[in-house]
Amino acid sequence: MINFFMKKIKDESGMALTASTMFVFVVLSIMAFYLARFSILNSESAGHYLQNVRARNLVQTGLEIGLQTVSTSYSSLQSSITGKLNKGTYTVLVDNSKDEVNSNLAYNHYSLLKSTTVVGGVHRAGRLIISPYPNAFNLSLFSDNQSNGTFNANSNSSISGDFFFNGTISNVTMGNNSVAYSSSSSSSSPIIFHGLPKPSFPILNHSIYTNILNTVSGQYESSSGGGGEAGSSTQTIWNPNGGHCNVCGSGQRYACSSGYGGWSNNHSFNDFVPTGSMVVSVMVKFKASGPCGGTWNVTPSLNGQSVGSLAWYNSNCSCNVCDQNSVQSSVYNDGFPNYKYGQNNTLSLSHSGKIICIHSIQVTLEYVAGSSPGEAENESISLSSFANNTLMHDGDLSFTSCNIVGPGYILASGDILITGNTSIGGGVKILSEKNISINGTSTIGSSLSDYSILYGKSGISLQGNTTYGLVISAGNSFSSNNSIINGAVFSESSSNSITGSTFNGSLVSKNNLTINSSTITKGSLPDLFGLNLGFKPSVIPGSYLEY
Amino acid sequence: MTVLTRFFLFTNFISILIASDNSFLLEGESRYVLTENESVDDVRLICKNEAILNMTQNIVMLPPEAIKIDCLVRNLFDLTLVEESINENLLYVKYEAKINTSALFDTCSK
Repeated sequence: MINFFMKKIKDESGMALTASTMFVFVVLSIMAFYLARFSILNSESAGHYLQNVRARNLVQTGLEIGLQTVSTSYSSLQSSITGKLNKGTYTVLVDNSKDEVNSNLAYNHYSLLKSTTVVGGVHRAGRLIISPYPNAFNLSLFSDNQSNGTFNANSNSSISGDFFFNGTISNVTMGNNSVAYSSSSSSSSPIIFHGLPKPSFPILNHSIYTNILNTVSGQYESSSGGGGEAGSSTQTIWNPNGGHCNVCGSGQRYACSSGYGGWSNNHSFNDFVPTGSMVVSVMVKFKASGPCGGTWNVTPSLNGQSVGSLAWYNSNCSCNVCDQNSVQSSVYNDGFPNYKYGQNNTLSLSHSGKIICIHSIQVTLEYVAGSSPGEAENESISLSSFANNTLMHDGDLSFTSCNIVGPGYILASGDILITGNTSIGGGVKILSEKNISINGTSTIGSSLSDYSILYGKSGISLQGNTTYGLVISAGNSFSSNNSIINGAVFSESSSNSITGSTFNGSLVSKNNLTINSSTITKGSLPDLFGLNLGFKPSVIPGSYLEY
Repeated sequence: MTVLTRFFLFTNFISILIASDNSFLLEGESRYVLTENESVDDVRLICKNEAILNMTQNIVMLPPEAIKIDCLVRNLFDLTLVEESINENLLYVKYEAKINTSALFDTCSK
């Protein structure tokens, strides 16, 4: 029996089958384990992928929100806008100096629009580069050539940075890595046919500027410019030749407010202050008999500007007397309003009450050495000293060798002439209903971050000066001779002439240009974000990036 | 409002009422050289009438020839002797009188 068991124990038959079965079982177990694990990971991966897609969509939504906000509320984007959407959060902000890897942006006027999102633990980010200017300003020179001319630049001129001309370019000197695009399909190297769609000429909302210009009224009286002297002058402006007895001396010359003797309420006289002087106050003196048993109320006004009011009482009016009274105006250090220098002025009487019989009216003008209205010479002018920081003049305005400090506005319904060694600081908007001419060695603005804006409704003429900022020329003519312009130039003028000038920035013209011995280089423009200056911002083509 | 302020306003009001009186003040003067046989009272009467006539000379808004004298005299009131003097033989009188403005410029104007 024992031998039987020992024999069975020592019998090794079937061992191979058992071992192989066990091995297969172990292998299958391991495979099952990894299969189960793979299944779990795959499910997680699918979920993650879904959240990733959502986060990416939210990034684009954030950028869209940013683009809609950038025109109206740039400052709010600077401190970021955050929101929740589709179980995720987004944050949109702008950076006006650095890109997403903290490198400087290509140009001063560019801004980075960045959108970051988190959806279900998945983080995504995307960005755009945006410009406060329309697309045409991304070129060094853009000419829509609506006048159908031919591109005219002599060989001494060069253009650095891509440019576009809507027409045929026969010859042009380009800088390194710069391309000249033409709308002509027959263009040959180095000029390249742009193809369709062509870049379009930007639209400027002129009403922003014209609405401001429509507010111009009054005269700007500087403390210089016209010479003149200080003092006072008196003139009898009315001595009626009526009456039947003597009032204020012999001669029977008087008239009564009842109409007797040839009464009149309006009396004209020619300007009688020395040339260049500025009238600061007016006194009106009455010589009369009366008022006749009561009060005569009178308000004399000079060219519509009230001199003052007088309530004059007298118990009687009779012949052979001479009563006197006067009205004195306030002192106007910036000049008596509405006074017409070198012209005819009118004193008007608005009166009521008892009758008076006036022998004569004398006007005394007190004046100081002053300017001719609208002219300033060798002056330091701070726009903050004007109401609403606005120096305005209804007529032509000129500055000769002045130092003007902003911020603020200089407005004129006529031409603006800036000449000599005039310096106008940054933050000044110079708007003319007509033409702006700048010459001499004048400087406008001091840098692209401290710039000024020129708007000439009838055109702009620059000669020998340096300008930092935005130049907008409408009307007939834009010209630049031996000038340096750093910034953006936008011309709707029919005639555009550039000679011996240097442009650093971008020049956009509605019509053809004539360029002689000038250099145009693509460069930074003033950063207009947050300012409503009539241009629509744009996205720099190809700047979308997810990271 | 203090009593003083009320008094001030009241005074102003009365002044305005007085100032807006619709009467017109006239002045006239006359001189007469006395002789020995003449009665001073008679001469005073002559001078008074002369002074009233002379009042038309002093109306600055109307020439004397544009005034109906009889009408003027009829409409005068508050005739007052303002001044009288006799210097040697010369008698001087000055009278004041009032006339309604409408009477002067309408009724009594030619």
